[in-house]
Amino acid sequence: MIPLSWYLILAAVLFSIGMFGAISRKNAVAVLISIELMLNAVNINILAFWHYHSQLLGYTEINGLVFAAVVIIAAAAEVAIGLAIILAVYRVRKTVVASDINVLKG
Amino acid sequence: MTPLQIVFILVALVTILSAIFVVSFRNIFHAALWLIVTLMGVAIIFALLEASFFAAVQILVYIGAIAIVLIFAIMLTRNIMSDEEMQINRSWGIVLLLVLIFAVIFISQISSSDVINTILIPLEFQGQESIIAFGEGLLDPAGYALPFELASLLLLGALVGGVYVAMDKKGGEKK
Repeated sequence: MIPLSWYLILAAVLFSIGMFGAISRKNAVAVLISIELMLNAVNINILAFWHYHSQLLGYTEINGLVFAAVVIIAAAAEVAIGLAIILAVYRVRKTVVASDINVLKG
Repeated sequence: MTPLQIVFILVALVTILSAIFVVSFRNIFHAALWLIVTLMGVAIIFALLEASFFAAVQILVYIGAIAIVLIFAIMLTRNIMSDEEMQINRSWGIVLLLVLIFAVIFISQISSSDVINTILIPLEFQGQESIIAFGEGLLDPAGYALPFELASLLLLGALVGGVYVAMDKKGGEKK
């Protein structure tokens, strides 16, 4: 009932909002939140194309489902490691502002 | 306009609005709470796509685990940035312009293609056939058994690495 393009436009808008947040927010945790938004937009795209391909084939296409699962697994691992790094940096530098964390700057 | 389309439009509007709140609110705790609304909207979109398994996984993994862990991290680092301070950096105008150009190009390309305007009809699966096929594909050695095992290794590595990185090695100074 719903055209494929609607899902793709929703995903594009969500991805753009997430990209704006990931580039412009100062707080490192907020950057991670924006990256989660972008990954969600990618997942909408993958599952929309999965539905389209399954409908063309007439049976369940599993490749799209596996891709979506891999994206969710990567997102979970990324959040665990990212937040651990942010907490470790916070303990040493007392800041969560991404541009103030410049120990590696020469 | 079928009822399904109306549901889609309502859910999409709520999702986009709350996503805008997530990136624009100064109070980062409120931003994280709006993130939960966005994730819920995406879960409903998955349900509309007949990926019911992923709608459930979205709620369990994203809302149940990732959003809660993010809120923990926000509370542990809370009083560092005051809410009155500017939460976005100086060049946000340029970033907004670039993102808008990106979105316009994307959406115009999407809506100008013929293939992509196909109507998605309901799939003709009986019961939970797609979930059974998914599970068999994940454990099939000729299918995705290797990525499945690698994913478990990745999650184990993330678990151990997360604990190791966040651990206080000096025993923690008393505050």
